[in-house]
Amino acid sequence: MASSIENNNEKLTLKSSDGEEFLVEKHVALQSTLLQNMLDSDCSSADVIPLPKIDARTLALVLGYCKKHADASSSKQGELNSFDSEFLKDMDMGALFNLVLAANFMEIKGLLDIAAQKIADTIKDKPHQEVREIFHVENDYTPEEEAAVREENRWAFEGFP
Amino acid sequence: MMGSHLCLPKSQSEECERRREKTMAGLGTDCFSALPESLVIVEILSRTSPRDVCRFSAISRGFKSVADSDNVWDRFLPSDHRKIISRSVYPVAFSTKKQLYFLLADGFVLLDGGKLSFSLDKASGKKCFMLGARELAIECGRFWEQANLRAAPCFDISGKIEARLLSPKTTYVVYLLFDLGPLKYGYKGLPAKASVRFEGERGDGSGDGDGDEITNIVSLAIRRFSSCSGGQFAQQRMDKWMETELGEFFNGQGNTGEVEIRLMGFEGDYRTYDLFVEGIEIRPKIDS
Repeated sequence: MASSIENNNEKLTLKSSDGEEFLVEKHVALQSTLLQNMLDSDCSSADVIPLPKIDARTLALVLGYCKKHADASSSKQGELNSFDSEFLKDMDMGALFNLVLAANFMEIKGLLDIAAQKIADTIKDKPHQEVREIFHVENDYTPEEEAAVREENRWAFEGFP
Repeated sequence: MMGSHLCLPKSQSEECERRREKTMAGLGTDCFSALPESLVIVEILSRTSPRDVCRFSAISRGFKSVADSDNVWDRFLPSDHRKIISRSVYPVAFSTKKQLYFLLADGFVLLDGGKLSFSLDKASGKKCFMLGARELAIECGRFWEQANLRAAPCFDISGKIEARLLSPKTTYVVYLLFDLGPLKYGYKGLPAKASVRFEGERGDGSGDGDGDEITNIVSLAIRRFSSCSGGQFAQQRMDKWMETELGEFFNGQGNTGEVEIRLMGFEGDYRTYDLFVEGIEIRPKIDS
């Protein structure tokens, strides 16, 4: 953390899509490549950075993740791993989906990895009908079209309904 | 320092505008692949498996457009697939990454003038190789062609493959592909000594190679009675070849060096037999 000492007290304000403002320490914000790139360019005068599409609930979670990862030293990988799994525990699909969307937008690689992996683990090896339910997706295929897709990917349906 | 100053990089602010215009209710619509949600689906699908992704293309049209996309299949293909394919003897024709994946998983491409063949393990996308008989050093025995020998007790077949060609963090199993000619079911035993060892530097810094050679006793004969137990017997494959497992090794991250594979005749077995060698296959171990 030595590199960020001189800027330690700098803070920036992030604004969620629903208008809530979050005051964030710079070294925490640097977990996001998007914010890092903005701070690296001549954007340091920005006092409020709007983050459309990221609601306050999601942004609070994202910043909680960033703070933990910014504050932990690299020697505490084990502690971070258990934080990560605890962090996502009991989170519903909607919240996870929003987290992946936010991590993708803010370019937070670690968060994107764990949240997308958590969803992937939930749907792995499940029949597609069940995944359709999990994601609340409407089936817009005609029965013939769906049969054609199944035929095209027959290998993947062996042992599945 | 009053007021709000929008300061996203240009491309990002345009992205924001674009995102703002979209609604979250878009899952499963026709413009699915243009939505930021589709980026999320790419991130999720590319962390499942090729088989899952093929199955999930039956969820909806929108899902199919992402499940068939190059963005997803590029992540299932090995990161160096372009480089490997550039060594192909014949041009490799494909129009999507999914097509390329199945071309490599259901078939193979010949590399380096035909000495090496490259394919993918269909379930995992990990790399498989076969060292053709012409690439192997075969000594002793009585030669017909280079690949076919009348095995005497002192035959010695060896081959090498560069560790960096193989998928990282993967346990590989090495097989000899061969045939014994018309009498293949008549043999009993046919023991041989096999070794598979890594010679080089490990990427994790845990040492330089395997040190002492570990030798496995393998059999080139098919097990004739199900009651027989123990020992490593040969299997008849779906194609015309037989295969016998020579050994396994773990390919870590960033290993540089070679994996050396060797099969030798067994002193004490004085029978001679015709051994047609197709090659040495290196494929990922399947967890069962």
